Amino acid sequence: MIEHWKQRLLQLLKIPEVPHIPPGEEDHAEVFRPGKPYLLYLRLAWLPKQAIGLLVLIASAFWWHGWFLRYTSRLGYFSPETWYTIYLAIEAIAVIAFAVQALATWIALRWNYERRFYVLTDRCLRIQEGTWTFRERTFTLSRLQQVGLQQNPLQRLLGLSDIVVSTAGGGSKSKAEEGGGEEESLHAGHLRGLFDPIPVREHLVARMKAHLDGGLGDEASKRPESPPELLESIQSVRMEIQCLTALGSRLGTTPK
Amino acid sequence: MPIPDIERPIPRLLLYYALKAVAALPMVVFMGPYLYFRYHTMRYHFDEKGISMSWGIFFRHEIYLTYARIQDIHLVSNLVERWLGLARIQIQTASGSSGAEMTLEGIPDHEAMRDFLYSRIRGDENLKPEEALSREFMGLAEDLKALRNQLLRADHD
Repeated sequence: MIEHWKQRLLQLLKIPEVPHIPPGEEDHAEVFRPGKPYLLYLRLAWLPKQAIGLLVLIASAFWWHGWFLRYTSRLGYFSPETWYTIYLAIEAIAVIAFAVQALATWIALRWNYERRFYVLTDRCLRIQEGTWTFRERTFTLSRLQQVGLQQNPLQRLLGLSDIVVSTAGGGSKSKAEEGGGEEESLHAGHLRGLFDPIPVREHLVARMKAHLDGGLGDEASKRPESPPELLESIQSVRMEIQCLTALGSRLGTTPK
Repeated sequence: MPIPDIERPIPRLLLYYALKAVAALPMVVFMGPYLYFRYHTMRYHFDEKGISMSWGIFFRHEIYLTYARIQDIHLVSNLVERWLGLARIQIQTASGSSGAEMTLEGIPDHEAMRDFLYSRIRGDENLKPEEALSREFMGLAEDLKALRNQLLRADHD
């Protein structure tokens, strides 16, 4: 029953179910997902936030209680009992809103985990994430400026790590528009909750080492590591041989 | 991939804008006209080397960027946009701002557009000198073979 409703909800949310692999790169694309403990990690990170929310809710109820009743008793209009009912109604709405919010964010944690995909090819890194707001980021590996590995104590306990890649431009952390998204710069990508980050890191670092230009879209001819003399020499050798072939054909057709 | 011939966003974008303006309840007075004119003045032009996009009626904006300088592509959609089959394509270059340099909205087939932009990003040319070298070597071998055949035939004659 629960499973049925869950599927219905997921259909309504229309979060992409499968990773999208760049066309033409299917055979050397590697798709991976966060490690299993990542869901637990998300839930553990969810708890303190909700606890703070709950504390604020309770504290404000008490604070409001005194203030509201004192103020309204001076205001008149209704009897103190009616004001007290109004107070209770407002509090009830606040409590219901908090409960709905808590439930929705709790359920969203699972979707966040299940619908999170990382695609790594020889050319790009793609991150698909998000529940309410879905975001697919595609980074070309030659344009990466930094690759970092991060782990906080909780992640260490669970055996998870984050890989952070950043491209040129930086900029301060911006609140992702229309809520939903996480607060981060659009010039950085986070591969969150990886169980075995080392091979991924190695792949990224190897690709970065192979690209020693500025990573700003420079023209191919200005690349220092391509040996133009070698290429030119081979081209000239080829031209010589083409001339020789022409000569040979002329020699072959001239009567002796 | 061929260069897309898209000049105007699809009409569904206007519907999304209407919903967005209504959702901004008290601000609908400002958001409504702003988004209405944004939709009606939005123009795209895709050329050989880059994209230009313009919008605005009082405050006019025009941006041009080249495919080669594109750094990352983001495909973003919220729940409402997903329902309407829309998505924003946010294009990043190496400029300083943390926001997107250009946001393509109302593209008929955003997946195809994303793939097109991805195919145009400069980035894997470092593999190409090697490929070019091997191609040249292959050509060299073929030429040598042709020369040998020629000389052989000349010798037989």
